[in-house]
Amino acid sequence: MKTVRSCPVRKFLFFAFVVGYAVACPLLILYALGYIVQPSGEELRRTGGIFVASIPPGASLSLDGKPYPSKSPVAMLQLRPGPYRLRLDLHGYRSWEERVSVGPGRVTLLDSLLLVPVHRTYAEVAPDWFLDMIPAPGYPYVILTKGTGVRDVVVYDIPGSRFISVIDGRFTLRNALVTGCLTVGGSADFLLETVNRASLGTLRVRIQRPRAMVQNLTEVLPAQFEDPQWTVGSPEVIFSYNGSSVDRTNARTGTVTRGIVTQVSGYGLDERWLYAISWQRHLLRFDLEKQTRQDFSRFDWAVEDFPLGRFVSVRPVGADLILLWSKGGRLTAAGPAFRENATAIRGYQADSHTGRVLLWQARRLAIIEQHAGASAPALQWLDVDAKDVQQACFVTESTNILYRDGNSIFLASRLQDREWRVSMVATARLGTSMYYAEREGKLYYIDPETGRLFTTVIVPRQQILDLIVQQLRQGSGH
Amino acid sequence: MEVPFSPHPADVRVRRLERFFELVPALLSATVIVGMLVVLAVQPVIAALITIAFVLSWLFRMVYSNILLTWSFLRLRAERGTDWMERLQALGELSNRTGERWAEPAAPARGRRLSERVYRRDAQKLLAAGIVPPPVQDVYHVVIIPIASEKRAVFEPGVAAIAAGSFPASSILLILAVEQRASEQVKRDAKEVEERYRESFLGLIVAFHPDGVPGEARVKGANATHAARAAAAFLRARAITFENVVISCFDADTVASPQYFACLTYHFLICSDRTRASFQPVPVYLNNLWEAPAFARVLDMGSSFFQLMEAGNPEKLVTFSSHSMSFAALVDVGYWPVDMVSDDSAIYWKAFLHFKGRYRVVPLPVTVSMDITQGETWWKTIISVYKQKRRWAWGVESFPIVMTAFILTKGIPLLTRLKQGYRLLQTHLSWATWPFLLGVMSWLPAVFISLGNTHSVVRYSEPRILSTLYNVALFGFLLYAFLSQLFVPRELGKGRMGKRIAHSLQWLLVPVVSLLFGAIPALDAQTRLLLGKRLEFWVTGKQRKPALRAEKAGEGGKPSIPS
Repeated sequence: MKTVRSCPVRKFLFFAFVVGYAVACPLLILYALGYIVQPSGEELRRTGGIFVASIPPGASLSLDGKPYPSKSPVAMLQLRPGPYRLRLDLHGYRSWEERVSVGPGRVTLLDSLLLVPVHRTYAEVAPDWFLDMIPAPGYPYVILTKGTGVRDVVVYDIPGSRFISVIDGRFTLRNALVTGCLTVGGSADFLLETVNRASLGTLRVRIQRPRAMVQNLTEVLPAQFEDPQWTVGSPEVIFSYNGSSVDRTNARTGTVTRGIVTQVSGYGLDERWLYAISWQRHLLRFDLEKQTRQDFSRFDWAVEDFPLGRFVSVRPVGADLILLWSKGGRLTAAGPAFRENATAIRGYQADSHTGRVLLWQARRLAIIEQHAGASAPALQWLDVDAKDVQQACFVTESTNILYRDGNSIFLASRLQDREWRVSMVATARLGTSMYYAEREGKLYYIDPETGRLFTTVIVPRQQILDLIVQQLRQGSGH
Repeated sequence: MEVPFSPHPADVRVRRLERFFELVPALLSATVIVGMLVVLAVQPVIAALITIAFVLSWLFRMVYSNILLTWSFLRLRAERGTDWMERLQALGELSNRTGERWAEPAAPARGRRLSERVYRRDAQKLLAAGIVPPPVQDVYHVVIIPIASEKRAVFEPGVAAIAAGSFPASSILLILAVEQRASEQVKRDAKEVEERYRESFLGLIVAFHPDGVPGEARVKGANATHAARAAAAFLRARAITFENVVISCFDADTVASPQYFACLTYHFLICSDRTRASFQPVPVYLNNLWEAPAFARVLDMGSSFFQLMEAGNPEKLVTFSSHSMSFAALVDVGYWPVDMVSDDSAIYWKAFLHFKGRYRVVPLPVTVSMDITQGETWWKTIISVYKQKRRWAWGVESFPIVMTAFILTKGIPLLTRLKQGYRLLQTHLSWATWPFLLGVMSWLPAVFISLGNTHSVVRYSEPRILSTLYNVALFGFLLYAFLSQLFVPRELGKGRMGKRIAHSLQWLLVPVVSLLFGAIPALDAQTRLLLGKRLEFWVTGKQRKPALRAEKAGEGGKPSIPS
């Protein structure tokens, strides 16, 4: 019988492929795990790598003085464990050089590495003189004042590149003094607290391009109110604290519902829930849509040793992190398996999307975030050698931070997990704030010499989309 | 114990075993896909390493298969100018010289060397073995063309091609096996074709297969069996011995190349165990090449290439679509299964079990041309293609029967049982899972590792290694693009440069079509088997434009042959 099995060439070919695979497969897997054979000692060693993604991309790289063939972003693999001198060069930007350590089987991440321009360009936005800039993190406009009165408040519309006056000359409270300004991140509304002939007032300002709509809420809001808050979805519904309970005011209808939650020492909102701390030290949660109370006892222990008597702001960050902040500067960050207490906290910024929190004292900054493989978030203090931190905000997620120390504005860039590098970005007029427009990647501040509004690019606009794509590719964890 | 080749055995023990094996393909496929997802979620680094090992094995297989493909293609091309009738004559002379040494002929012309070398090798073996094949004039062919609802324009070119072929039609009995339930128009068409071609053949019978015969399902195998029984009666009446008869069961749209029956006869005669063999031509889908959309073209071109690969490795070859076999073997095994959809592969397994593993498929270096599945609209084409591929994948229905028989039947060596069982299972498992693993899941480990926020070096090395492996695999696709150009006959390709370029570029669709028309129909078929929802035969949509018919008529009804 003519059998096909007897074809020796095919048989040889088949077994050659089987043997080839049996040899190649383990080698390839070892290679994937980082193992290489050292030509010198002929020993198998496990290597590591460095992932570099610069902003802007396209920077040339060199490792220990030797040029690397690819440009950033790139994963440099098969590096022997140990320290390396990594250098990034990009025309128009300062060279970036740091000592980076590589561990066996691990990749050191240098993600969203912001390169500093050689000549940072500072642009004057308008030839007008401004007294101050009101800090409004997350607010989509820059709020500026030219004096102390309500009529001196203007809003700078960044996409439209124009100034919008908050009130016109006929407004009755135009001569009132502004004592405070309250914003909610993402909302186009803000509240101005005013004093007019010894009487306190509140104005609600809503920006509807190209003009501002102002509503006098003085007669509408309860006589005694503290820490007003609202949601982005329903800005006309303003919640406030009156010393023992939370009231709700509908600015459109002028109706006030008193005591929607009573016997509480603090509260906070997100888009759906109202959180409050009861006098019995329970953390309560109310569904704003269904008007029902939800069981939230799993966080009770977070408030156990929190000093009551002062107003406590409650801020949920994602599903598993709650921030409690009293105006005395005490901050508790608590999760199911995590609690951190800190004092003398001047302010914080929480990113619900990533679950990260940036907080600052006078001399240092800290980040609360969940690290790789950890079951709970951790608080990490940043060694930035500051003296009087007034403001801080994330730039490009948590890899870069802008902060104002006195009148100097700095950019802190994360090198490795616990190392940061600080570079000065600008000097603002003493006592004035800064504003970082995340969508445009621009910093706004008031120039100390001219008193005019200046801007400088922190993240080049064309890179913002790349950054989003890159972050999506790298996963939300970085 | 003899296990009947049927999905409905009477014996309870057999039925239980078959039911168990009916669950295996779907459960294994689901385990592979879901298991990989679980490993991805729990241990993405492990998943990345598994993926690398798998993609590397796929690449090795691809390279190995492409070598076989190239060899089979060269063989096919080497035989394109072969006059098989001349070879048959030479074989007749050879019959008188058994035991002699084959005289080395003068060096053959360039381009004919491979063909001549294979021919000499075959002849030497025959002489050395002292085997005397029967005279060519004693060999008869029976050709069955089952028709359910196909139009005359679909099946008539096939009849014309057989009549016009190089092998004398006077030795061919042609049976148009028409379903009794077919429309009156179809029956009329069959009768008209009978009238037109009757004189050309040894006999041309229109056999109407009655509907609703007890024990039969509405499947092509039942119709073909009915026709084969009619053929047996015809042959017996003329005292023609079944051992010298080759039967071919063609799809209605099959157009055999002019040399097909001569080539088949030659291979039948030189086959030492010709009554224990099937003969598999290379199916090519050229009848409506330029009318079918690219995704349908690439699928059918892919199945042609698959058959060529299998032809290079006949140990694994199983009959597919239009094929031929010894009529004596067919009668011995009890004809085609009458209650199974996938009669083409089922008859191989039925014969394999009946002859205790001493049955094989001989690849033929000749083509039969068929239609690419096509509907009236794009959407209907998609549905038709999907249903056709699901029907092909329904070949999995043979698996439980074969496995049960392997367990209960004695006489087949254990190693053969293990090898064949593994191959059958592996074919259906890879059909259902590989497109998922290669096209979708191979890119997921890096994403899952990222979500775990790990700094593992595998996160970066895995995509890099996979990119390299896939880039190497691109050379395989370049080979397909190149060979698919050579498959298009000169007369079909003339003046159609744009279409020819698209014909090569269509291979870019492979990742998508292999998923949509490969893995998903296969999973569908396996799930049906698991749930006991059996398929019945569904006639694939075939469309021919009038213009093409005219063009074919202008060629004298000759079939398309790859250049």
